[in-house]
Amino acid sequence: MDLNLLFANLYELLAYFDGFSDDLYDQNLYITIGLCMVLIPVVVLALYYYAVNSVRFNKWWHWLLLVVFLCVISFIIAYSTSYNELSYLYEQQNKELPYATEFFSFSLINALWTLVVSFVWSMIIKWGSKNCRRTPF
Amino acid sequence: MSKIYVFGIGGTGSRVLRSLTMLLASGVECKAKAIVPIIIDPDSAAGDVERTATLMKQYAEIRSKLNFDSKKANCFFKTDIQETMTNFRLPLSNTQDVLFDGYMDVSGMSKENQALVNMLFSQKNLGSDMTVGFKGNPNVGSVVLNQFDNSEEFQNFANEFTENDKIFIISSIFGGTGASGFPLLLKTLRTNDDIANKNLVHNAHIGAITVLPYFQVKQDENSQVDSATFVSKAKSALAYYERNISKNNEIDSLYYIADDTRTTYENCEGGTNQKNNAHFIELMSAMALIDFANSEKPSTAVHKEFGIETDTNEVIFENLGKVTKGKLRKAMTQFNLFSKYLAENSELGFLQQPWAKDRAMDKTFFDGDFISTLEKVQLDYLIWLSEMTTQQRAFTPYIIHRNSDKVFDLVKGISPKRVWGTFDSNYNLFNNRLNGQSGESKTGNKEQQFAELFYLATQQLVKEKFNIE
Repeated sequence: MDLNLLFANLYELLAYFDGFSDDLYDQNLYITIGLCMVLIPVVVLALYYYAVNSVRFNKWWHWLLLVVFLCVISFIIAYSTSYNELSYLYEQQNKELPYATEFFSFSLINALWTLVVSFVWSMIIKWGSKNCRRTPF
Repeated sequence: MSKIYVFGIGGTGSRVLRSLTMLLASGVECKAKAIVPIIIDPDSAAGDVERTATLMKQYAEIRSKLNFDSKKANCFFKTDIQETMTNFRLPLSNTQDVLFDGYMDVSGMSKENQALVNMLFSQKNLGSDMTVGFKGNPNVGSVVLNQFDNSEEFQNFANEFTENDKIFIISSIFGGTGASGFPLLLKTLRTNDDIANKNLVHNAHIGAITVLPYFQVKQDENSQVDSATFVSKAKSALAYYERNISKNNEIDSLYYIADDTRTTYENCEGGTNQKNNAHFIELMSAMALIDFANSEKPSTAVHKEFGIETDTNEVIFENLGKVTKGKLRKAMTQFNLFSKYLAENSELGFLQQPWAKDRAMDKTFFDGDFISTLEKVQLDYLIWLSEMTTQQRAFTPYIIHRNSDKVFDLVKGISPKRVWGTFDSNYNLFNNRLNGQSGESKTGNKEQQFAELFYLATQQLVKEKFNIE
């Protein structure tokens, strides 16, 4: 399975940025950012549902805060990874970095997908949790 | 298992029945298929009677929604309480709005009989209104109560009596109604040939508790109730019981209980104001019935007394004997936790918990009749517990507070243990344990699931926090 293609399709479903999206694809950055977007939520949510597993934190707003935190993490990962890698790429070619707002927009899309993925993961893994199986609902 | 017909005579009879109902609600084991309370009290408006009858009706209403097949762990409300007479009361005829001399038709008697009556009864006795009972006069009671077998209800009781059913009689010895009613009732049960199933009733396993003085009343010249006479009345009644009850084996098991540390109550001859606070002696009198339920019919009369391990004015579980402590501590603590949970947590809070959502226990359920009746019983249970702490000899096994940060600072003499492996404490820990229950707590109707759930969770909590099994 071509993970790069899979994540590219996912991200570009929401927005395609001329040149920027191609660079991300060519540098295989979709794989790094996409895997972080999928795997970090599953690890953090598993900890929430099975290690913390607490009545103290089983309200819907606790879950929402956690997901917002995950979105912020994803935004930072997407922004820093894409900016650092593409800056390095263009620096190697002695060219000026041709993108500005694209980093922010792409990171926002990554955060949005994190929200979706976190929700889906929650719906899948919550049922085994003693105290949080009804969180967020 | 058999039914136990429990005759509660007079105010003490009703108050002991109240304590018994609280014990059964909390799940204290009683080896009986059902308890059939029968209250005998001429005081139709007695506060104690009314309160007990209401409580027992509520108990029966709750229990009717539950089932207790062998798979179920729940012991709350396990023993059936059956109402076979209206308001559990055995009606007494001609005791309302009539003076004692009118009841006996003294004016219609011959002069010789009138002279005899005047010798046996004071003018105060003869002029006493029986609407509120016999006001501490057993000589009056012994005349008026000599009519048990007249009522249709008593005949129904005899009709329904089956082999192996038992009879238990609760009475005080220092008042009017109980002191006179007990020997009369016993005589009727043992010797009356005009009742149905007379052989079964005559030979039934019959036990009784005779409550000796355990409180006193304020001196009041206008009242016929005088606690200065309690001991002398108890002495003469005991002598009578020895000659007429114990020696001829009319009774199978006779329990005695008393206390020389006595609270002083307001002097009240009867009526709605006769509503004494619950007392440790009444609780332990109810335990006599639990003991009786577990016993076989002895060949000769057995006499038992109750005592505590250490003499103190503030009795906690540790002061009770091993057997009594074993029967009471776990059940009462579980039901106390259950009662406090519903009383101290908002509906909105627990509606969000998985244990409620999983079982579709929604607002309609929590606003329904079952929970409303349960809350009434539980509130009464908490009041009953706090009433016992106000007595001169207080039964005060629990720290009574409404501090949600110290939910498990509850059982005196036991420091709650730390529960490891969870971030939850207090009511969060309670919810945690509710959320963790499965199996039978998810089968049956919602009421059944609710009772099972709380029984299992409180059972786990009392083990984890107090090491009570």
